[in-house]
Amino acid sequence: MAAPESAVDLSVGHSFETARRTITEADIVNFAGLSNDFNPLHVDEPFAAATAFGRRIAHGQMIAAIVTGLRSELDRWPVLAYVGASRDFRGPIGAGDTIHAVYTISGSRPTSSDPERGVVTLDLKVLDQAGNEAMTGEDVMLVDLRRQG
Amino acid sequence: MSSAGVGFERIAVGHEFQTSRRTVTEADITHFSAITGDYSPLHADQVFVEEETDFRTRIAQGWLIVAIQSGLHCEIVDWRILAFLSTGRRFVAPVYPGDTIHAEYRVEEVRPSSSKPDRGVVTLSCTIVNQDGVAVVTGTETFLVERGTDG
Repeated sequence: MAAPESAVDLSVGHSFETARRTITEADIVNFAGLSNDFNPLHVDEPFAAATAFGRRIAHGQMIAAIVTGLRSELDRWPVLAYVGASRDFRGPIGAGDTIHAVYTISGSRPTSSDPERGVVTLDLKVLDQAGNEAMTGEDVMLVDLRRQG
Repeated sequence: MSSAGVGFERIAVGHEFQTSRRTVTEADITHFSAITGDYSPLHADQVFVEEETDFRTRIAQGWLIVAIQSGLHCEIVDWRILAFLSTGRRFVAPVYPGDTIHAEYRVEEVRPSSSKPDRGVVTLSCTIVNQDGVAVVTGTETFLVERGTDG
């Protein structure tokens, strides 16, 4: 994004996948420390083992965060701002699970105030290694259409 | 589950509360990039931000602000939470290193589970505010909360 001039496809219906990443024990501990979210579902093994999850699970918002860093076409988008997002946490992810995301563009329009800026809406789903949906949701991005390529 | 904590039946619509504050630092932004791999230039390229955007310096990742908010001390820490079901966020203003944030919550809906009488769904509105009183992130959070066993 820091200058590549190749074209990006912002058309509605366009779909693309991210790279995969295995979620590790270190990720969960690091995220607990960074966020100060030490909820026992994430850091207390006997507690978590007694829940329906059966083991400590990753913070849902950590999975949302890690997905933002997975390599994908989005890396080349001239994003001016991340406007909004929603996430439904549909299935647990634990250390050792491997995730990736599938994005599909669901809306693309110029802003009313500046036709050189576009609002692009994406549906996404995050899948584990077995193809189970861990998370679904939507992202809204403000994009510089002059630098679309 | 632990028997301690605030059960679903004690959470009332209209209840409002605030979190503790925290100053968002340069280190938080860099650590978050290291955890997520999100080194997009809005967060990691000062020259890009100055030349291509309206922001005065690199901004915190939106999900970093949400992550930090989830760890701020507040009443939710004591709730008998079974699961965090969903969230919706609007990133309405930038957060810069040095800004100090807190969150303001209001319970918007409490709905007993139709299938399992020992639990219910709680939806809150949540506004994250900076030191000037400016809303930086608005949105909702939805939790599955267990009823108390001792109340």
